[in-house]
Amino acid sequence: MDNSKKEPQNSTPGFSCAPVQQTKAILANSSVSDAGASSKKLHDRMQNLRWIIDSGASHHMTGNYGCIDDICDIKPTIVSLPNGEQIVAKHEGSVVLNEGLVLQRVLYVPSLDCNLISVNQLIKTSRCFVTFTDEICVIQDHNTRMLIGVGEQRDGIYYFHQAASAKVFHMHGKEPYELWHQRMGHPSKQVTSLLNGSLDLTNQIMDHWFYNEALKVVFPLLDSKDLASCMLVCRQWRDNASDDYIWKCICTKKWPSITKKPPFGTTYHRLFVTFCKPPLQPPLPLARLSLNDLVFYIDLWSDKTLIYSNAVLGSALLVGLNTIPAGISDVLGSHLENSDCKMLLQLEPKITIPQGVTVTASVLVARTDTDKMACIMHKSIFDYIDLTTSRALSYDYLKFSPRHPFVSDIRAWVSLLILTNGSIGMNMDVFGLEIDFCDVARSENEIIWLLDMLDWK
Amino acid sequence: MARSSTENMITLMSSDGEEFMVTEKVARECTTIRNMLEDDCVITNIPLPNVTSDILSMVIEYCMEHVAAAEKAAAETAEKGSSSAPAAAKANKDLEEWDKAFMNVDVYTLCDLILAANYLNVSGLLDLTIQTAANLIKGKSPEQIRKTFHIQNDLSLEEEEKIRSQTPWAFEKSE
Repeated sequence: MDNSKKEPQNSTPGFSCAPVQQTKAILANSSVSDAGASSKKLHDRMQNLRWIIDSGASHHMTGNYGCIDDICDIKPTIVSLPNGEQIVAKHEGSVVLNEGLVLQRVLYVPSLDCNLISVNQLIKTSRCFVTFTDEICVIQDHNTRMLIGVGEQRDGIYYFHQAASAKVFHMHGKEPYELWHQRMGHPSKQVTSLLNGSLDLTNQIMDHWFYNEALKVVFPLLDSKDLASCMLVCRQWRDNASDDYIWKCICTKKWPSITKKPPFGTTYHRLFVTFCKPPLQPPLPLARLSLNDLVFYIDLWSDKTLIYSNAVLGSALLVGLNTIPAGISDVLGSHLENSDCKMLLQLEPKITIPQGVTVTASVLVARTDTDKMACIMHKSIFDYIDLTTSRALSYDYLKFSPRHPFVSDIRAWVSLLILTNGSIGMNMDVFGLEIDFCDVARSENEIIWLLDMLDWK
Repeated sequence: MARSSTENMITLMSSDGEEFMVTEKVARECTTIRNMLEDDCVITNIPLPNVTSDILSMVIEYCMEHVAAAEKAAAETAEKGSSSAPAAAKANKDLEEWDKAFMNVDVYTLCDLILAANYLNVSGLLDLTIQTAANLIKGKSPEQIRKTFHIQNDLSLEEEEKIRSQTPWAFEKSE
């Protein structure tokens, strides 16, 4: 056999790569042709018989009367052959394949020219499991996992191999302890200590393994926060606390209906983290637009008279006021100093607004990257004076691009900064102008994102 | 006791070869053993290769206490025709107290008991032990848990960081 061919998959359930290789070695040592030599003590009459391991057969069958032991009569049973013929079997008995494997209730089917081992019967009556790989077939005892039979694939058929019977669990000192623990069905220390002869086990590993089973039953009682702490205890705890079964327990407590139709394509852990404990909002990515690309067109009217008009670069607005005049209220002072991003414009010279006039503002914005414009404010009245911060306020609702439906009720604010000089009332001296979007946007990046969403024409 | 001599005695053998004679009733508290007995009623000697003698003796102690409590309650009910609520409540409370005292063990023993209760399928003892273990974990920081369970931290800094970044909500307060 060519061992350099591709390795059988390691993932065969309950069956690691090691036994497969060993089995191959057995097969390599004694090919079918010299089987007789190594199994002399077995029944000589078996030598020329080739048994096919057949998952399609409902019973073990043979056409060779001589190989059957303890033959007895049975109720005539009809056997359908693949060629459509039907034969009546009247006898059955047992067949000894090797020391470890005796087939029970083998039907004697007179005209059958092959010998069939029924996989189904084998598993049922011999308490074993059968594993097929692309090259071989392995029959192992269910409890001890001892190798009790081997099949070899030739021309698409798995032939039972007379020669092989071996304890598969040949020990290699290098085998990790955990592998043994799993292979043997998570036995106690006592049992695994039998392996001590060839395995160098530290007590620490033992304790670790010992814990695992206990952690599996304790963790479902914990809530998510405690589980997160457990994940940080050590690797073993982390691995156990990451087990999705535990998160399934937590998820089904929160959303009991989830068990009715388990979601697929996701883990319960992800489900929990995403919807129950959403991660902190990731920071807004940098906007494509920059304030340098923006020009603000600002016009102020007093009744019908234009009192201020200017086109200002966005970046200039960010710079803020050149000088904060003396005599502003403390509250305005601290408002100007707080960390929110403000777009401020110094009005020089100061504008004096007489009492009783209606002041309105219009603000358009143009972007130089696409040469489009948008409206921020259209003839909005400064109809409210905030006495505490000494500002006259006006606002207008922003109009967003149809690509952003459902977004509404976000205002642009323009405020006039008033020099109080003791009293607000008669004539107001305005020294500055502020544009903000404090409903939603407080940083430069947020403001640019917001402006980018406008209905640019 | 005259009564117990008429009962079936069963021998449980621990992994280290020590034998424990218990009444069938006590043994039946362990679902695993009950299933064995029901599968084949002639078994009288049951090897338990997964349980050491010191742990097995504790499991038996627990089962005996609970069987005795159940018998006592049943006897009282039979005597009076109906169980009196205060007496039953007191008996329950006594048993709870006993459980609590029984759980006064170190974490290694606790862990062994969990495994034994799991293997022998003693549902009451399993519930009791895993709840005790869960209570030892609850509300503790990873460092405190390590101390309680005598565990060495083998996580690398990167691994720790990864876990923390995946579960930031769990560590908001502590940091």
